[in-house]
Amino acid sequence: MKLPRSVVLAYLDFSDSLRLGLFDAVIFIFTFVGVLLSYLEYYGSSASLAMSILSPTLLATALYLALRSSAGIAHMAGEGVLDIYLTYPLSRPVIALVILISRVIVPSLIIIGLPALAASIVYYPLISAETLKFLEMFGAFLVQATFYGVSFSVIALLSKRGGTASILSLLYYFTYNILELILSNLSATYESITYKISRAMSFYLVAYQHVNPPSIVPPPSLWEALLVPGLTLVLGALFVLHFSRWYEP
Amino acid sequence: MSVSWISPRSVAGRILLALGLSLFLGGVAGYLLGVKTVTTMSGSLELTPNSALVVSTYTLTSRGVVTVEAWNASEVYYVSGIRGDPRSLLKGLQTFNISVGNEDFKTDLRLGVVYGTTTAQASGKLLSVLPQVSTMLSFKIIQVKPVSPDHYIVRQNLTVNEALLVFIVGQNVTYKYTYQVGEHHIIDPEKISALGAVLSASSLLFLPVTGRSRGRG
Repeated sequence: MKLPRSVVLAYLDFSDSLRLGLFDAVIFIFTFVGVLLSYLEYYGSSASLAMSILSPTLLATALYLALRSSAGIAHMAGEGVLDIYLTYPLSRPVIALVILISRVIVPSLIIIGLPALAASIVYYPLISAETLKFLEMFGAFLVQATFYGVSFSVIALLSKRGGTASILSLLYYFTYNILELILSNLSATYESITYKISRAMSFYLVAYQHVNPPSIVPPPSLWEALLVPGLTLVLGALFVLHFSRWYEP
Repeated sequence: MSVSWISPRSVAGRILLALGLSLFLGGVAGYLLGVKTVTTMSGSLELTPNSALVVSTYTLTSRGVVTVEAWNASEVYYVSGIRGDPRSLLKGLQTFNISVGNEDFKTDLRLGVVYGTTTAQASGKLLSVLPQVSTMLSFKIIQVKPVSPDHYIVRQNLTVNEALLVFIVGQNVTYKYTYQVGEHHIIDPEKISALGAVLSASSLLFLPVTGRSRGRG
């Protein structure tokens, strides 16, 4: 069977993005934490289980993406590996998409997916009863991780230096989260725009309040639900566009 | 170099190893440290006249079902509707000339409950004093009907921060106590499957460990 060239390139890129070491440590530690958290408390709904297990995992995913994926892309750009990729008989947008899939989406899927899978094995009767809600929460965490990953990839492509890309990515991540915290703390009521912006900045929180509507907090509006996915698409398009039009080896 | 997709060196194999190890170690740690769903205790006690064995439960963070069975008992009463730690109520009984014996209470944070036994002894007939106490302290005291001669069963659902006291009167009483974190808890504990986790972990560990490397690698 002959594989499409894009799949072959992705397979080659996986050998670096998922190489033995940090990746294995991260997936083991956070899957273990996920299993342990499942046993340390009772969870009444699959959404609260997902929130408890996947929140620390999201932090780990963001750190992994900043330290490994972002730095990896910048390193490839700086050391000329991307130049070799560009010699493949594939269009630049396809190569850019392959890099995003290999460096951001697949690692995020594995790092967030494994604790979710382990927790659903421990809590399978609850998860089987509320599969769609659990999947919605999982999807929301994955979108948030992808958002961070795509942002870091843009930073990496622009900086072209591994160390700089990692530091700038971490700076971006913590600034984003501190800004969210400040906006949340500035909010006098749940109806205030600052609260809504801070909620919209965490897509998983929007999903959680959609799955488990709290009594005193107004439900998220459509723009809140679209903010992070929209930003992810815009940044993803920016990455592809920059790589296709302006990236110089 | 090519390796079987399920060998320990392949991504799939490494993922399966991580998942299997996590489930196994997390399951063991969870068994040792995690929440419990049920506890039982039982015993026999020779009681002096005008005294009763008091089996107490106080829910801290869980909701559940308390079942107290008593054999060789002449009368059984229970006090419900108490909020807070029943040990303070037991201390308060001393004002009504009811002395409380050695308390054998256990705080089980994994279960989210305080439970234990003690004895209560009145100078006169204990059961004639209790109704006065219940009126003064505004709680209900309810007499339990036997299910068979000398055999009584008290079963009560408790919410969080609620207490239940069961007074067992008799000469040589035997009791069995069970606290089951039940369907009135946040979730049904049946929704946790430790066995499923262990079985899955075993099979996941088995796959990559037995996966054979192919080729020259």
